[in-house]
Amino acid sequence: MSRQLKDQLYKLVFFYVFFSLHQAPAWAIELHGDPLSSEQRQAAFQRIEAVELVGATRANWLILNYYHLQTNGSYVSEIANADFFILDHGAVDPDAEFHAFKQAVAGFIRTGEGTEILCRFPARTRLVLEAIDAQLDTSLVCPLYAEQMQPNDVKSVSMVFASGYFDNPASYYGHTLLKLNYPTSTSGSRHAALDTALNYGADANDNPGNPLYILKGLFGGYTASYSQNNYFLHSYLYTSAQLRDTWEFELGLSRSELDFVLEHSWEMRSARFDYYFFNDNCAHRIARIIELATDRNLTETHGFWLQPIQVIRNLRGRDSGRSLIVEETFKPSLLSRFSNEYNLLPREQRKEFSRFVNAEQEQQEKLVSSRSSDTLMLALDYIDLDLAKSKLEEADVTLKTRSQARRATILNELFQRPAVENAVTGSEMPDLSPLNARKPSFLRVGMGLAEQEPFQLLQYRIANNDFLEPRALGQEVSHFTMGDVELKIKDSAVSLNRLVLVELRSLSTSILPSDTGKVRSWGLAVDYKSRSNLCEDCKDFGFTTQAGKAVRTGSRSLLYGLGGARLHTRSGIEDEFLTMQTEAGAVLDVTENWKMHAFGRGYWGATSGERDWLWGVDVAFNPKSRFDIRMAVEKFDARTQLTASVAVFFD
Amino acid sequence: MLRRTLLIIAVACMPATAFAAEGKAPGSGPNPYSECGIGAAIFQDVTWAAATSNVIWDLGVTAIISAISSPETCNARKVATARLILETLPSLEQDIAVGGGAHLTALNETMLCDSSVQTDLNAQLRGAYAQVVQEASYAQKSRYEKASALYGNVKEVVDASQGACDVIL
Repeated sequence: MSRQLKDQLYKLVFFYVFFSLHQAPAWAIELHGDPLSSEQRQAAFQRIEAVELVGATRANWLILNYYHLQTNGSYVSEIANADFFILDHGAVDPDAEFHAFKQAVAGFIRTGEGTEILCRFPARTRLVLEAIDAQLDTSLVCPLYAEQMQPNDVKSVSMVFASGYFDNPASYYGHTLLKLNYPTSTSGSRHAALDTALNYGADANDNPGNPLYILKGLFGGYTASYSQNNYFLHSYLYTSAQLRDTWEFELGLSRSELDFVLEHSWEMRSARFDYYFFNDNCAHRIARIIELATDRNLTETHGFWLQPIQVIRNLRGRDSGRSLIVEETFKPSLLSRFSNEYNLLPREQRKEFSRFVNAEQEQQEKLVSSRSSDTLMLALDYIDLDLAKSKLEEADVTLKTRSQARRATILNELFQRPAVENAVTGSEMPDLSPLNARKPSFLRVGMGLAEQEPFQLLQYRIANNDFLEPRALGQEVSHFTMGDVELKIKDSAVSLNRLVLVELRSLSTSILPSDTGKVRSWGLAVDYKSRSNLCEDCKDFGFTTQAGKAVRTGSRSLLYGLGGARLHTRSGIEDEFLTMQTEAGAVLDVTENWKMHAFGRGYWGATSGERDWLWGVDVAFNPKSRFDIRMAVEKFDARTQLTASVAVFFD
Repeated sequence: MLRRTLLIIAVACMPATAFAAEGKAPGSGPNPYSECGIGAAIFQDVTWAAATSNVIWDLGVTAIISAISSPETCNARKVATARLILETLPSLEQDIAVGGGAHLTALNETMLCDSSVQTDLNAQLRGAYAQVVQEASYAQKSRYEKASALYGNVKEVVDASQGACDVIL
């Protein structure tokens, strides 16, 4: 009898027994590829009963359930919810949990009952059965898993990176998630609707504006969990609503590694972890699944924190040199796509486009029929961009109504025209891979003169992005730094010159020179610093908030103004604790590599009325992604300081 | 080939008013935004951005998923189709307006439409939705109302296609 015929017979027998007894098929278990007879099942039952939690089985069991050995010799799992485990004390007793689970598997082998537990833990089940060199067809035992995951159809897994998002503190550094890729359709493209996102995020219900939100996110006040959803929901939310670029990195996993990812992520659906923004975040937990599947280290950095971009870079093979990435796909945001198309227009067409999109409604209705379909499509993108931005910034009803009316006019015009054959989605985008982007941390050394007196500076910054950094296409001019420590060495004495926990300024400009939107700029900072490097006595610890407006004056330049207040510890100046603060500045991209920031700041003590003024110019030269050179001039209280510095960037 | 022939016959036999099936305006019949709880979960009298504002700390979407009920009439494909239309509406409208694009392709694939008839389906959908956009009230419609109208058009085109798409809307 041929092997294929035998297989068919086995299947017939299986379905007969399954449907007649209405119980789960113990026959779904295979030994060396063959289904088991009743005698073999009994033997398998006894062998599973005899499996001990030792050696590789023990090591993998501990890893699979996130157990950690404590200093007192006991174990505790990182999984925070007790109901994840079979036993009430399963989180702190790996041996008992293993024994209970083993009994469940053995019971299923013997009676075909107890599928509920096996369905919850396909990766655990595989581990136990591997100890007796057996396998289980999970899709037969657990139809729900087969239906929802469709494991045999998953072609590959991609790690997705979404760029930073300033409207939510939790997403400043970007985000990572996994994407399960399903087979291509008959038309050659992927079944976009089938692709599934495996996401990890904190289960937080506080408003992001609530200080508790940040504190709880930083210090483990939230639990976090995995979730699955249609990938297009994430993709569209990122690129078109939040205007974030995304990159999909398809991973070269073996079939067994892929199966592990699917089975383990299925198990993790009911797991909860404590969330820590700095090092137990989406990047950590998403990478962890791939780490477990591949035995690769993807979370190694030079510090205690982990950013999504660091995980993405580690995919290239930090230690072994073998890259896990087999294909990179860039999905530009609506902003990047529009910027690319707009910048490709000749100068005259850009002006004409600007006039068209900014025209009054009646004027626009007259002009719309004379514009090309390409221009109308670009105008729709621009309006959608404005709508997305206004949504992000508390919807302005008037603006929204006006934009919707314009959108309707343009859309209606397109519908009146013949359909475009082979409609394209735009021009090719330049290579903006985050793998080639500047690394987030730096060490900077500098020297300076303050009133003819020399000094040296030593600065370390965990996460860096300021007005003078190279920017990707469409990326807003923004300032976001975190974990910044600067020491000043003067006359052999070392002093803390600045300590920034977080400093953020989001200018949010329109891509067009003429701004039709009402999007505001804003800023906040928590830091210890002086209002000027020339004022040694002004240092204080404080919290600053600012709001204002930025306007582009050209494709390479913008002006901004911010006003706000700083609540701070009492400093040497007039024993003040609240200082009003205004700032005006200009950012100029002299060339792609040369950037300049000129600014003036005014300080006004709320109770003392004391006023100070500060003027400065910073210039940066960014010849390579790995280092930069900077020069700065600062004038405060009729005194002047000059500095020059160089920084090296690293993960 | 058979599907394509059937589709052409069906389309040719369809009166111009067929999109207003049984006297109902497009989208006025039962749809998954009310049937399947998508509207209640994502879109009940709130803006899209507000509805997703609870998606915080790395954008976990658990809240959205857990809020969606799925009675038997709401098969997975139907829900996926409705969600795709609702979530990607602005881009989908653009694609329909010009006759093609990534989002329109995604819609066809979500509904498991035969690739050989997608061009015809797109043309039918374009004709139907053009009437919605032409309405004076279109600009004042909410995203939910537009999505409902488009879903109604999609359903009518798919129903009339004689099995060109495997989805049951």
